[in-house]
Amino acid sequence: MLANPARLHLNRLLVIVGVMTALAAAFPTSQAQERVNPTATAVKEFLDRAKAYVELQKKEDGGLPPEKPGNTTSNVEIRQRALTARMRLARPDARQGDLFGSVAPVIRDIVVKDAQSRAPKDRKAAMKEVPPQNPPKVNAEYPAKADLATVPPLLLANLPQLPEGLEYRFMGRYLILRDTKANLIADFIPEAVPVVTR
Amino acid sequence: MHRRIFVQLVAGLFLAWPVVHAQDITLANKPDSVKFAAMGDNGTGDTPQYDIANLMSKVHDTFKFELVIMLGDNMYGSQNPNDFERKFSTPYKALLDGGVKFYAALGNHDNQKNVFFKPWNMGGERYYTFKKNNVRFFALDSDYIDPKQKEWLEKQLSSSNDDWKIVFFHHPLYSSAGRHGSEVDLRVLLEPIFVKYGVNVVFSGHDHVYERIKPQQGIYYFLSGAAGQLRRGDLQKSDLTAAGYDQDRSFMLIEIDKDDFLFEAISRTGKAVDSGSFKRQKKDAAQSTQSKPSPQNSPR
Repeated sequence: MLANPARLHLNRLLVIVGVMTALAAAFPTSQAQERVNPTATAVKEFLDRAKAYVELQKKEDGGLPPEKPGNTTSNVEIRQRALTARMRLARPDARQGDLFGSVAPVIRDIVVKDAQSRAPKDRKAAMKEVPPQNPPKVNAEYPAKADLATVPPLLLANLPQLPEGLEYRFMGRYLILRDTKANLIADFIPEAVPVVTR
Repeated sequence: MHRRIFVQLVAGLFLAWPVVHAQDITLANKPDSVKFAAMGDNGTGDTPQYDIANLMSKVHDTFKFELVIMLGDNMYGSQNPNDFERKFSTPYKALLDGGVKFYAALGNHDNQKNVFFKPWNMGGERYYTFKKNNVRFFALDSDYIDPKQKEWLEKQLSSSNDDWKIVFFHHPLYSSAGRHGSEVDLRVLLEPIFVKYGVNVVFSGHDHVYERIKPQQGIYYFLSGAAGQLRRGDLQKSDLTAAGYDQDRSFMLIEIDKDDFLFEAISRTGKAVDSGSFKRQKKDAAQSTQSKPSPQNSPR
């Protein structure tokens, strides 16, 4: 008995659908993984680590006398030094990359794209007052004599927004994550800034 | 012979020393007006800063400004307790003793901890606002305009119903000086906000000259960055320039009398290098038109 062509076609279709359904059931994660944006994940993980850092900062800050305006800033300095010491003790093994982690290439890419979007003159101007390149160290104090050079606000708008207590700064071609309360270099990304002729 | 030289020297000193009398100030000096001074890039601790400070207190004898806005780089170099004395408290002692209040904005040479220096009235904040009669001032930290600060500014400006909105910070949105020039990045970010919320006047420093900018989108911009530092000859007057001065240190006096804004820029020798006045911009005018400076706005 010859098979009805329409029925044959329907059977084939049912087989294909069945195989596809079986495959989908067998490998559910492969499809889920496709939906994950690795950049978003890296940013989220970085911000989680930054948030944890600030929580630690708050904890270490507890017990120190409150910051309040005075006729000198001596008390603020003494207080800051105490917090610096506490943060170092709390993160004795801190290493470069601990906070930035896998987001470093993403951030480097944002900085490079920002630089490329500027005219060479503006690019040079943006880096004019950046302190010269000294290899930074995690847990080292941001040098007292170094200016806190302006971070271009349009670049800041594109970088992941940090919690209060941390900020981005440039030091030579390094992008620093600066602890604003303890004046510490919390982490850094080497060669984040493209070469600029000074 | 020696006696003659001595007399000549003394006479020379008297002639050279700036003597500012009430009649030299062209401002209205009305009893109920808001009077203030503006100075930027002052904190060197050197003689020229002291000269300007002395001149300011001399002016204050007749023109009783109540406050001084500091446009950043309030202190250069080391910023220890001794430096606060030498670079601030001593030069401005007469003004401080006379009850003049200082309000600072941070510059790129200022240490962030200085927000806690009480005489600068920053209340421990990098950016803040305060009010004097019908004038509201907004101090920004232009070293680090992050989204949070921008959001704060929009909120504060939108909720302000004050007649005058004056914003001051270190880096100029417009400048014709050669060393730094206009901060275009900052302009892209801030100017739309200023226009949207009807900011009237903006003061900045950073470039060590004096420059009055032609009104931009209805907003008046002043650059006053030579109250201690000076970059002589750095002003490359451009289409932006309404008036400018780069031959000596300078500071500004301002008087706001109801709808009138009067200003004068004064050099270290006590000479007015620019002066003028304008009416408060109409809200919609400030938001959409290019207002023209009044005839009085031309430098003398």
